[in-house]
Amino acid sequence: MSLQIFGTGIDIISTSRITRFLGKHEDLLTNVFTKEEIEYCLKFKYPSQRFAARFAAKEAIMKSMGIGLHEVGMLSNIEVTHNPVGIPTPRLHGVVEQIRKERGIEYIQLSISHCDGYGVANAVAVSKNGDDE
Amino acid sequence: MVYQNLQFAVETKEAVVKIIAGALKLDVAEISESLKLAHDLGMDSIDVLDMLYDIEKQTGSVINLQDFENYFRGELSEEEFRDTNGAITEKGTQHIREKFPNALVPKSGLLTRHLFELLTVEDLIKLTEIHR
Repeated sequence: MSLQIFGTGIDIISTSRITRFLGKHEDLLTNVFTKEEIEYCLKFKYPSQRFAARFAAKEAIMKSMGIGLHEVGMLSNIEVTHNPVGIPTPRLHGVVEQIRKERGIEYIQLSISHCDGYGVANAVAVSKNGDDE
Repeated sequence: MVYQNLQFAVETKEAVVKIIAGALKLDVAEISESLKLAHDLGMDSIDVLDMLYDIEKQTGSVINLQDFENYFRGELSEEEFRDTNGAITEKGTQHIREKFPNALVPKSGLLTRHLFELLTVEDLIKLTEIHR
């Protein structure tokens, strides 16, 4: 089976913007981040950088899949986890996982980074090559 | 009764405009109903969530993300409006042109993820009223 790039996505968000959002909407935070993501971010000295990188990752993943915010139900349906060596790995839930299957996306490669001011992410969605069938 | 509806409409409009201005750090005088949230006001995903959560808390109107698509889809079924890859059908595109004559709809290639780009301040006020 050969594979092809289905789509790519990139996003950047300022840590100050995410900090303001977290402060205003703490009560609705689980609509955006899973409980595991929140616990992970809060372990670090500068959680806003981690939250910003994860928010950017969710947006980048949506772009790579060719979907918009209104199609994900809740952003927490896109979760960023880490494999045993620390590489960020998307875990999709609910309607987003359903869309992944419908569109024949095999996996999504994700890269994230952050600094004082910004969180950034790049995603590449990979599908089966239709010519193989 | 008419007065109550008018008061309700005025309150909703003023609350939504104030919330948009707050989310984008703009003056309320800069927000007019014809402006597009994304294209004209530069609203991105986090601004959208910030705004929807503020609308929920301040007006009691719960607008879900899916409601943006439903708003444009109207009475059409999902199958009539879009295909499984998120491309708006010819019938769906025609429907949007008829119901939203001021929307700049491309001749082809419109995807569901582009629908937010068409949304104006006026549309958001209507959505807030519908879901209040």
